[in-house]
Parts: sequence; structure tokens; C-alpha cells
Amino acid sequence: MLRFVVFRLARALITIVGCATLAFFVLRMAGDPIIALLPADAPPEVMERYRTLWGLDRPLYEQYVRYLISLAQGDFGQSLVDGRDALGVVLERAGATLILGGVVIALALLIGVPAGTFAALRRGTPADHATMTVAIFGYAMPNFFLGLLLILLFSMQLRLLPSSGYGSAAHLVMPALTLGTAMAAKLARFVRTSVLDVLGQPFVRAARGKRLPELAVILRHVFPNAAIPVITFLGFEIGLLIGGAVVTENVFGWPGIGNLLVLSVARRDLAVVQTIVMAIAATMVLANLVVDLAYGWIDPRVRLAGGPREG
Amino acid sequence: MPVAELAFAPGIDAYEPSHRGEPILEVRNLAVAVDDGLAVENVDLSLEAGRTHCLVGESGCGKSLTCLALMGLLPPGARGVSGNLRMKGRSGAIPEKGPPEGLAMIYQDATASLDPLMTVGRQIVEALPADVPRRARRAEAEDLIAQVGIPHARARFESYPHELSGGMNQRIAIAIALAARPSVLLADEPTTALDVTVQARILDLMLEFQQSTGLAILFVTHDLGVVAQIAHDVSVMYCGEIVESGPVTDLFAAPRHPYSRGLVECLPRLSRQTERLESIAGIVPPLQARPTGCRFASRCTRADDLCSTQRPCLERRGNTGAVACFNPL
Ligand SMILES: Nc1ncnc2c1ncn2[C@@H]1O[C@H](COP(=O)(O)OP(=O)(O)O)[C@@H](O)[C@H]1O
Ligand code: SF4
Ligand SMILES: [Mg+2]
Repeated sequence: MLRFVVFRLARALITIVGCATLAFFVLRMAGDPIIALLPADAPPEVMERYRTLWGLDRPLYEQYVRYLISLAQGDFGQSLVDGRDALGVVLERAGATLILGGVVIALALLIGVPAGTFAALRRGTPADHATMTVAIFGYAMPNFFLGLLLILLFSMQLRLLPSSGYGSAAHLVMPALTLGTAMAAKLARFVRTSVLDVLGQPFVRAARGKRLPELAVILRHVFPNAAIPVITFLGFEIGLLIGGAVVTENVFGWPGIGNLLVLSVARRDLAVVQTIVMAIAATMVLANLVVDLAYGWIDPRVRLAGGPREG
Repeated sequence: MPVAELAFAPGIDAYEPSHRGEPILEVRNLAVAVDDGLAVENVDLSLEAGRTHCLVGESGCGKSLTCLALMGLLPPGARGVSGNLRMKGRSGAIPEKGPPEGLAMIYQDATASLDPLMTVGRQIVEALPADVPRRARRAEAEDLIAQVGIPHARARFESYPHELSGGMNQRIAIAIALAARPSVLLADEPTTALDVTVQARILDLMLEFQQSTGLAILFVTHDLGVVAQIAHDVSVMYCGEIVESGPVTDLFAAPRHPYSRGLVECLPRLSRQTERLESIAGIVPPLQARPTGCRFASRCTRADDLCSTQRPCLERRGNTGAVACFNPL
């Protein structure tokens, strides 16, 4: 168990620092941040002063080593825009993204799981075909396009919802639908496949042979077994969700990390971009860990094989 | 005199009942349709309390489908089912959604029939009748685990199927079937996957239960050695139909159907591993290519013109047993 934890933590750390490193070099090779940050007509002496101040005049490897050392001390650097602590700037925006992501995942689960289960239980019927047709539409639609459609319909035509911003439930509706539709649709299809697979298993037949109510068969036997592949799928989806969130937050002016990321890349706000990249990597690592813990919790065979859970 | 009878006569005598009662379960005209045709047809069966009725036949002849149909648990590949079921005096159609009360089954692959994510104990508890009070359920399940001969019942209650051997899981499957306190038990090849010593213990176990509770058992097997040990009555199945049925002594001493005779004659040579019956030449016709006449005609030494045009039905011959053949032995 201890070995497992140490191993996982080390791997997580390598992943996160690796992502930060990549961002570090790509950003510096993509052009001089001073030019992006200072007004175009700034005198060369001023540019030189800032370059020295921020250590950008040093060789790249030296900048990198300094960066790693300050990271090890818990210092994520300062925003080049306003000099504030980069971590603080990012965390300030994290809440909005977490709210959006949480609502999207909840939405996807609340729609996708019942829809997929319903379709599987009525396999081959018109109800099944209808559900799956809707699902194909749901995930075939690119999410930025869906976002624009929603704005056209609900903000421009019907004037029901604000087209952008943050602060009320009404603001959340369209971004959440934009991101959640595809995820719910994919989840529905995935759940349908897994449930169908489990429904054909001999142990489900045996459970029915016990004269249990159908609901008990579904809840006790079909769902837990069907959940195993669905959990893996969700782990992947959370990774994709982050990418989708960047686009969606910008379409709807949602003040989350995705919004900040685009802004900071444009401004060459080096420390902030690197911190965001690490935050995203950390989220992925955490999602993976949760997936593994969930496996161990559901499946006793994984527990036995030296998984994360003991006893 | 057939070798089989000499070899197994003592076992048969030990279980020969003194009288025959009212059947506790009767099936008439059971048919199961699958995509390619009728996989089971014209099946009549009759089970009596305290007696074991063996259903014998080669792999693929429809034994499992017959049991699953009686349980109302046909696989999705099955298109439909028809027939009548009379159980404990109440008659009706073949059930379609789960078994009637009093009927339980041990499935062909015990381990696959256990939910891998649930402790075996909870799976037994789940099968107990609804009227067993909540507080008594765990103790009753532990009792059952002990009764099927698994030591440390208390600890084993918490085991998962993957932690137990095939033989142990088979016993758990028996415990689950018995938990429902059935009056009729359908056992679909419950010992086929097991080694000979475990098989013998499991057979003993089932027979013990039968003696103490008067359970009627339909025991499915393709192993005539097992039939000789445990059966009171036998039905021989071929290509989805019952071709001969009657008391086990008659069947072994004087099989009437040419197919049954083939089975009985090759008994000593019949290996448990190979399901094929070496002494009967020819192959079982597949479902899509069944002949219009007698389905055994292509392999039968007694076949005549009538056999290739007309289908023989199962008819009583003499005072015991029935046979579906135009030229019975
Ligand atoms: N799920 C299914 N769907 C379609 N056909 C099936 C299915 N299960 C069995 N069958 C067919 O029914 C016949 C009898 O099968 P089965 O009852 O399993 O035989 P046995 O138990 O005697 O070995 C076989 O020919 C098989 O092809
Ligand atoms: S009916 Fe004819 S072919 Fe069929 S078993 Fe009897 S003798 Fe053989
Ligand atoms: Mg079978």
C-alpha cells in the first residue's frame, strides 16, 4: 500500500513538472514576451530594464533551473501583467471552472446513465432507436457550434438567457448545456453498450432466477458491473472536458481558468500560463487517481491484485 | 446383457422407489424457437417428489434451453416458447419472466452465474424467500454454506467468487438454489466441469438434500455414468426432442430407441471429456438442416422408408416408458 502511494505520487509529480517544462520552453520559443507585454513604442532601454528585472536576459537553461528551484519552494512566479502571485491569480479563477465542470459532469451523469440504461433495457425497440439517434446528434455537434446556436436561440431570439457572464444560475445554463450535451450523449451510448453486455451475463440470468424484483436486479447486479468500463470512460472524458471548457468559457465569457488561459497566452504571461498548465495536469492526475480508487471500491478482483484499497 | 447394467445395478437398486406418486411438475409440448428453427420441440417431462429425473443427450441437443424455458429465463437469442406447465396442481403457460415459486435451478457454468462484485454470502441471502426476517437471513445463509460442505462458513460468507475454486463455487450455486427452498430443482450439468472426487461429493450432497426434503430433481447431463448412479427416471433427448423416457432400470436393461441403445452400449467407453458418442456413426444434423422424417434416420441402422418421410411421436410402449420410433427394439 505504501509503495503504491509513493509510486503514484512520484508519477503524478513527474507528469505535472513535465507539463510545466513543456509550457516553459514552448512559451519562450514562441516569441519575446517583452514585445507582447510592453506597448509597441516603448523605448529599447525600458525593454532592456524589464528583461533584466524578470530574468529574461539569462540563458534559457538558467531561467529553467531558477524556475524549478522556486517551484520546489512553492513559488509559482509572478504574473508579468500585474506582478501578483501566479498561483493566486489562477486559484481565483478555479472556482468558476470547478462549478462549470461539476455541473457538466452531474448533467452528463443524470442524463446519460438513465438514457443509456433505458435504451439497453428496450433494445431494438423504437424507444431505443430514438434515444440513440438523439445521442448521435448530441455528440456529432462540435461544442463551439452548439454554443453559438444556443446564444442565437436563447439570447438573440428568445432573450431568455444572458449570452455571457457569470454570477447567476441563468449564466450557467448555456455553457453547461454546450459542454454537457456531447458528454451526456457519449455517456448514454457507452452506458447502453455496457449495460447490454452485462444483461447478457449468466449471473444476471441467475439473479432473475431468484425471483428478485427487476429493479433490484438492475441496481444490485447490472449497474455495478456495467460501471466498471463506464468509470474508465469518465476518466478519459474529464481530460477532454478540460479542452472543451477552454473553448466554452471563451465563447460565453465565463471567467474560469480556460478564459484566463487564452488571455494569458495572448499576453505572454509566462508564470500564469505555466501554472494553469500544471493545474490542468494535476486535475488529470487526480481524475486518474479517483478512477483507480473507484475501481478498487467496486471490484474486489482489483483490490486483491494490489490495488489502492486494502481489506 | 449390457455391460452397463452389471456395472451399475447396485446403485440403481438403492434408489428404486417403492411407489410412484402424483407428479409435482409436469411439462407438456414444450417448444422453444430460436432464429434457425425450433431448438426444442414436443418435450414432455414429469417430475415427482423425492425422485431424480435425468435428462440425457449430446451437447447442443437442447437440454439447457429446456431448463431455462421452464425457469422463464430464455436467452435473448430465443424467439419464443410454447407449452404447458403444471406445478403442484396449478397449470398454466410456460413462464416468461422468471420462475414460478418453488422452482430453482443450478446453472451450467456455476462461476459465471455468480456476480463477481458481490460476496457469495450476499448472493445466497438474496435467494432466500422474502418471508425470512432480515435478522435471520445472514445466519440462514451461513447455515446453507455449511450444509453444502464448505468449512468456515462464517468467513466464506464474505468471500467473492474469484477467491473460491470451481468446486466451491459449484457448492455456492447449490446453496443459492436451495436457499429458495424449492420443491423442484433443475440441475444443468452441475458436475460436468469438476474432477471426479468433487463430482462424487456434490452428487452425494444433492441426494442427501433430496432424502431430507423430498426435492424433485431434473438432472441434466450427458454422462450416463452419473445417470446410472442417481436417476430414478430418464429422458433421452436428441435434436431437441425426447426420443425415449422411462424408469432408469428399463432404459439400461432394455433400451427401446436405437439412439438410447447406442448411448447405453458405449457407456463404459464414454469419456467425460469427449462429449461425442464414438459408437454411433454419423453426425447430429444441425438445426437448419433437420430432416423431415425421424431426426435420427441418418445415423440409424433400423431406418426404413417410413422413417425418412414421417416423424415418430413419443408414445407409450408397454406399461412403463415411452419411445419415439417406428421400429423400436
Ligand atoms: N441464446 C441462443 N440463441 C440462439 N440459439 C441458441 C441459444 N442457446 C442455444 N441455442 C441453440 O439451441 C440448441 C440447444 O442448445 P442447448 O440447450 O444449450 O444445448 P445443450 O444444453 O443440450 O448442450 C443449440 O443448437 C443451440 O445452437
Ligand atoms: S424412427 Fe426409424 S430412423 Fe428413427 S430411430 Fe426409429 S427406426 Fe431409426
Ligand atoms: Mg447445456
